[in-house]
Amino acid sequence: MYRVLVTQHAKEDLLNNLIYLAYEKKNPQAVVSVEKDFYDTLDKLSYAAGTFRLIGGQFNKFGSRKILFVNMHNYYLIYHIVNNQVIVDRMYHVLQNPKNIK
Amino acid sequence: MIVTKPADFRMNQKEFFQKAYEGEPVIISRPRNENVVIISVDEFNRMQFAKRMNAYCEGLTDLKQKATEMEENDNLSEKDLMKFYKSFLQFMKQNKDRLFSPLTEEEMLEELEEARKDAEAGKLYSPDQIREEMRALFGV
Repeated sequence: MYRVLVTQHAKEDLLNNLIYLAYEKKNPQAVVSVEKDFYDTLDKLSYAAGTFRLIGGQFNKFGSRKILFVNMHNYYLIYHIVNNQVIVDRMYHVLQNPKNIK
Repeated sequence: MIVTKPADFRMNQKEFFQKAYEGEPVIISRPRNENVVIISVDEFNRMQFAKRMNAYCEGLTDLKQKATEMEENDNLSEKDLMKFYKSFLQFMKQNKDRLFSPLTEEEMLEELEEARKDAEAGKLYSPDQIREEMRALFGV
């Protein structure tokens, strides 16, 4: 089992997306659903973080990995593993990255 | 910059429109100083963008100042924290267009590097801490 921790940036990414859904889309159900998906994905990371492949290209230097949200939302988390800790660096929507990250 | 009277403008409308389109503002003077300016759409968009960026920078400076004050103050109450978050939410709401634009690979690498610095500095949160904060903010 890994201990999952989230950086300030990733926390703000989640917050930004929830604000967007709440204020712009005025969709409280989506807020609940995306937030739940975020925690479910963190849960999955706690036992399966090592199974996802490393990101290629220029991102390789960070030793980062990527996991898509587990419940169908088009978001993904970028994380890395240090000893038995999983550190979630950022959260992105697939459309935010032109190449959908390697 | 061209200044003209309404009558002249009417006579040479096409020419003035072309000049405005090419980047030269046309001022039409009217009685009681109720003057108007004709500019191209590009110029208008540039002005709007500059206005938005200006407001964004001002908001960001205020927010940074608040954050610094909060960092220096050891006796933070939950009320202070909520107050800061409210201003943060307000700021985010006003600037969502800028914040949700697609990123280039370089920008993304830069962001990841910043996140790594965060991690190294120990600015990390457990899922439970995040859950609590989001619950307080969104009431879900």
